[in-house]
Formats: sequence, structure tokens, C-alpha cells
Amino acid sequence: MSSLAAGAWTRLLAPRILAVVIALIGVVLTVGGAQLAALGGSLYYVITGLACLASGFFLWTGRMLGVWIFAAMLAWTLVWAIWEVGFNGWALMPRLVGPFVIGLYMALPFNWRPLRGAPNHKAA
Amino acid sequence: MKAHTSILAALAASTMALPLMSVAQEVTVSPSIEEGAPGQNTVPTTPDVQPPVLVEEGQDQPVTTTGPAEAPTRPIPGIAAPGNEWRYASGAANGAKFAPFDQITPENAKDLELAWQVDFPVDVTMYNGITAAPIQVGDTLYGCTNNNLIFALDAENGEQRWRFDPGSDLSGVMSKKCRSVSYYEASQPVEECQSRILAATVDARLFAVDARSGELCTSFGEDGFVNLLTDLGEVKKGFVLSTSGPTVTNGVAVIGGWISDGQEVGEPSGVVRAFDAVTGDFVWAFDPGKPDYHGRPPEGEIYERGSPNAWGLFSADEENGLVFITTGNATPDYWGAHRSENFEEFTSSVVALDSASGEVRWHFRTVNHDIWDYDVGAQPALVDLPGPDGELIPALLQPTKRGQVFTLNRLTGEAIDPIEERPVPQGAAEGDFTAATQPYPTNMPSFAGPDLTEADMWGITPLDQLWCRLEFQKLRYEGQFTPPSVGGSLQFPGYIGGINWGSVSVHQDEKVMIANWTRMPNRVQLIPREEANRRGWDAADAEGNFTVSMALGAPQMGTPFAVTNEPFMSPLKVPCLRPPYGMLTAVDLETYEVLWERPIGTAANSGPFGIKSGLTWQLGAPMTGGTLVTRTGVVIFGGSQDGYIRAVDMRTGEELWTHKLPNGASANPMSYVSPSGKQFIVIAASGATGIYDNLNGHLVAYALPD
Repeated sequence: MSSLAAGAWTRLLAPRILAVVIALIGVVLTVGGAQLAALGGSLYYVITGLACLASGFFLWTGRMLGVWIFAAMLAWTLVWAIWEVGFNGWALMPRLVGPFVIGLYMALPFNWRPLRGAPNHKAA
Repeated sequence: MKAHTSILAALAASTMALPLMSVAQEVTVSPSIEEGAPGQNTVPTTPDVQPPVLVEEGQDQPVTTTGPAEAPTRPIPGIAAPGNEWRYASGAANGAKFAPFDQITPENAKDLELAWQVDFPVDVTMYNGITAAPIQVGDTLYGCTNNNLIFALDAENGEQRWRFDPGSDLSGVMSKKCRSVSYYEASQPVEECQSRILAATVDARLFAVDARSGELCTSFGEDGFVNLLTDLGEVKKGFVLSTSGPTVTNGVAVIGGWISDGQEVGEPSGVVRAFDAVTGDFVWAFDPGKPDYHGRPPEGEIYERGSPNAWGLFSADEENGLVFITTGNATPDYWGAHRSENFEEFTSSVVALDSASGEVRWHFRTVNHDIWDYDVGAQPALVDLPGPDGELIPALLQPTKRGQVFTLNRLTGEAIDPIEERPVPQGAAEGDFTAATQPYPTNMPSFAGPDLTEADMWGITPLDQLWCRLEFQKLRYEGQFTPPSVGGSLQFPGYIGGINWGSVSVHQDEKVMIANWTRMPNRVQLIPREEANRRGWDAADAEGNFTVSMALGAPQMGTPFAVTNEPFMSPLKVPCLRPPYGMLTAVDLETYEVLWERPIGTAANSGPFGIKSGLTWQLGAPMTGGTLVTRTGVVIFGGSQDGYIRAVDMRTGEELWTHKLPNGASANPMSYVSPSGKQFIVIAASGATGIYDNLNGHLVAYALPD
């Protein structure tokens, strides 16, 4: 098992870096979003924060589900952003640019190819 | 740094800069400006006059050849002013910034090109930027730098005729500004200075120089100067300064002044005084503390301390012998429990004074019990509007920082656009109170923008947007006029405005008003005295040294609370409010309909942490200064933070022409037809709103190609 774990470390390095980044963002969004929800504000942030935590968890454990959760989060973010501010470009920018930049980076093959359940995943 | 080089900077595209921190009008600290050696009277290096530079703008050949000598001389209805000059900083005494000239049109504005440019020496001790729109009389332009150097230039090519340095003492002066100089021609023969330029200094002196020679008029006041600190009692350094020049009307020079913001109760009086434009002798005074007394104080007394000041440009109706002044608050700004009945009556008001006696003909208070620093800095704009029976009503438009424009009969003060008193949020900090209602115009559109919602919160990423949304929910905010509070309140519009000193321009024939206005909330928090003491906050000392940066807040000594009043920014130094920040709106004054409304200014000079994105996307950039409008319907504006001057079609809002200024402009544009028959547009460019990379000062003139 231990040698397998060591191999996983090398193999999963890229998705695990991403997992840490997304999980950290998830912590901030969840904690801040929960406060915001408690103050009667938008629920988007806490839900998105939880999605980021889940995505980070599955990326860390090397499962493609982490990518799918993030993709779902992006879809939901897109719908929410347009619902909230319409097609106002400046208003959409902070809502969409950051998440989709991360999404695009995640789409680079070295991030998802090592994951279990990835399309064309080569069994080890 | 260009934005497209990194993701972060790409995000920056949408964002505003840290420099917003210092856009506050009249509370701006210019951190990079060194104090000058006081009283020096040396002649600085002559400004370099550059030959016209060919700029690749609008390469089309001019298709129309407007006769160059077509300078119209039609008088402006109801306004005694030459129709073919720019004799006042705002064009005429009416303050309307209307250029009654026909050469530059919506069709040919795209062909405008640089005609000449004057570069002022980069010597901050002597120069310190230019705010004033120059005036033009005959063949000469007259203007001032913020350190009160007065200059005269050839109206054809910008060559210097003379310059005069009054040797202002700049020590302790936090807000160096010179918004205007004034021209006066004596109606009777006088021994010297038959025509003269009157100006005021940041060390509170009024003076006169010969318009032809630039020599001091030594018979004016005492050896050429009137000391405006007379009758004010103890004045700490920098606490009383003239930031706008005198308004000269019916033979008197009417001058107010800026009183230091927020230091303590009982700062020097905000008295407005009139002096004989020839002799400099005192004529009358209007002290909001004693509105019915117009003389000098009796022996041993002074003008009432703490009374509201009047720092903006004034307007005048010469025919009817009226001068219109605009007032601020009794000091300090964010606390009002101590204010006297008269202070309350004349706070944030427009006051019509008899220009011969100083008597109050009428006044209108734009904010009841103003505890938001909504002092009125916008020059009143006069225009004659058609009444219900087709007769012309002499009107006055009073724009405000709070974002409403009031339309009043300028002879009586009666509302032309009916005014409603609307209930506003209640519950001031303990010890103070709120007015139950505030006045609102019935028909005039608002220049404040709708009240804010959480969804308006911005930032550059979801993270700082979340921070802004949390702050929005935590801060007290119940719409406009939410009172300042110990827990922190959101103030929108912020103390920048709405509409600040750039005011509005008004097409006198077509009755169209052009307003440029700002959307920028402030986070206002009252700091209990004990906490302020712990921080070491105190009133400025006698030398004018502040204990707390004006960009952060004010000590408000003598009241239970100090105050912080910062722009509402995210931790990444971008606004918590989404763009646009700078708007341009045209209103038909006969119907009060919005003809068009648009953001103005690009993101070029904006980005997080002060990074300049370089992106030319329309953002609606922060702004200072105002517009002018020509008879042909061309609106000129140069005050956007992106540092471009623009021509906009008054009828459609379409951008007709744009040109990069050599430096940003915090100044109104002006226009005139020179003796050779050429129409020029001139603007001072010496550092854009909140961006003081350098203080290189330029006066730039544009014209159509020959």
C-alpha cells in the first residue's frame, strides 16, 4: 500500500495542488457565505463554498468526481450570475472570470487524466 | 503594467484603483506634493510653448469650411455677458458653461486636433497642478495654477504674455486649489489697472493685477492685497483658504473660502464678503451665523465662528443684481447637535444675495440637518425656461452632491420643479438627531443612481465580492440619508457626489442640461471620543499639522465622535460597488426627460492595487470637473480618470471624438473664438482624478484644422 501511496503522490501531484487551492477557496466561501446567509444575504456563496470543498476532497483522493462537481459548480455559477445581474459585463466579471479561469486550468489534461473515472483513464 | 500579460491583470480590467482613496473633493490630500518655500516671489522658468504637434486623429479632410470669422455675438438671454467670449471660468456669469459658438459641430468634431500646448515647469513648489478653466478676454487667456501663479497667454497660440506670483504661503495648506480667476473692467477711468484680473490665494488673500501688464494693482487693498483673515479671529494655518476665485459682478468682487473640514467645532467663520473691485474696500458681508448683518463686526468682535462656508464658484445675475452662493456645513461635517438655528438654516444651501448690499433675497436648503458632508460645491447654473404660458421664467439649477438638481426661480427662490419633502431614515447617533424629511425634486431625474442592493456589490474575485457583500449586510444602510453610526454606515452617494464642483452645463437655446455625476459610496463610521483619544486623534495644531489623514477621517473635536469616511473598497483595493462610477446624462429642461444617459471614461487608468489596466473598455471611470456644451450641441468633457478628453453629441450621447491628454485633467474645459476667428477648446491637464503619478502641468488647446 505504501509504495502505491508514494506512486499516487507523484501521479496525483497536479490535481492535488489544484485540490488545495480549491479547498482553500471553499473554506473562505463556506465560512463567509454562511455568515452572509445568516445576515439574510445570498445563499450562493455558502453553497458554492461547499461544492468547492467537495471538489477539493475528491480531487485530493484522485477521483474524477471532483472535476464533475467543479464543472457543475461553474454551470450553477453561470446561471446564478446571469440571474442576478443579467448580461452586464462588468458585473459578471468578478462572478465568472475567476471561477472559469480555474475551470480552464482544470481542463488541462495533466490535471484530470490521472484521476480515477477520467475519460480514457489508463488503469494503473 | 499591461493587463493582458497575466490573469490577475486581466481580472483587473474591470476594476478601479486605489487612487480612488484620494478623489474626495475638498478633502483631498496630495501626498506627493512638497510644501513650497513660503512667500517666495521668484519668477519661475518660463513655460515652454510647444509648436503644434501633429497628432494622428481624424485624418479625414474637413468637409465643411465653416467661415472662420463667424464668431457669433448673439447675447445669451437674460444674461449680461459678452456672447463671444469666455469671460468667466464657466463661460459667463450664469455658470452655465455654454459656448455660443458654431464652428465645432457634431459633424466635424472628429477632426479636432491639438492646436497648441503649454507645458508648465515641473516644480511643485511653484506650480502644483491646474484646476481652473482659463478665462478669455479678447486676445488673451488668463488662468491660475493651484499655487496661485497667475498667467496670461496669447489666445492664438498660447505664448506667454506675463505671469504673476503672489508668493502664497503654502505651509499647512492641505487643499491647494485655484478654480478661477476673474476679469474686471472699471466702468470709470481709474489711475491704474483699467482692466484687471482678480484672484484669491490659498493663504486667504484677494489681489488684483493689471490685465495688460501683469503688474500688481498697488491701489487695490493694501499694496495690492486684501487680507481675508481680517475679522476672523484666530485662524490656524491652512484653516481658511480661497480655492475658488472671486465672482466679480456689478463692481464688487464676491469671495468666500474653504474652511478646513472636520477638525473641530468653532473653526473660523465661513463668511462671504464683497470688496470693491477697484479699491478693494470692504462693501458687504454675508455670514450665515448672522444672516441679517452685513457690515464688518463691531470693534473687538469677529464673524461668527463655525458658520457654514462657501467654497465653490458663485454665479451672478447682473441684470437683477443677484449673486448666488452655495454653502457647506457648520463645522464639523458628520455631527450637527451643536449647530445654531442660523447654521441649520443656511447649511448646504444656495443663497441669493443682493450684490449691492449682501442682503439675503432668498435661500434654499438642499439638505436638512446635513450630517453627510453634502456641502454644495456645484456652481448654480442660470437659464431662462419657458413657463406654462410661454413666458420665460428666470431659472436657477442647483446640482448637489446628494445627486438631486433643484430648479428654482432665481428671482424668488420658488420651486419651478415642485419640491417634495420625503421621509428619510431616522435614528442618529446618541446626542444628535436626523431631519424627518429631505427635499426632493418632483420631475427632475436623479443623479444619485438607485439605492444599493447586495447584488450591486463588486470586487475583482468571488472572494472579495463576498467580503463586500458581508460588509454591505453588516453596515447600516437604509438608502439615501442613512445617518452615520458607531457601527458604520454606508453613505450613497458619497461625499464626492452626485454632482460636485464641476456642476452641470446648460444649452441656453435648446434648454438641455448636461450632468456628469459620480457613483461612489462611502463607509462612514463614528469613532467614540475615547477611542479617538486612544488613537491620538486631535485637531490640527496652529501650524496646520493634522493628526489624522483627511483621506481616512477627521477628529471632530468638540463633539462626542470622530469620524472615518473612506471610499467603500474591497481588500483588493477595488470598489465594492460595481461600475459605472462616472456617468454623463442629458436632460430636456422643458420636460425633465432624460435624452440619454451613458457611462463615460475607460478602464485605462484603473486596476487593483493601483495597477493601470491599460484597457480602453468603457467603464464609467471616476471623474472630477465638468462639461461644456457648444451652441451646436457638442459636449466636451475631460475629467475622466482615464485621461482622455471627449466630444459627445448632445442630442444622441454618441462619442464624436476622443484624444489622450498629456496628463489627466481635474478641470473644466473652456472654449472661445480667438480674434483671428478660430474656435478653440482648452483644458488644463495636470493629473487625473486621484492619480498623481506626476504633476506635469499642461494647458492644451484643440481646434479644427485650418
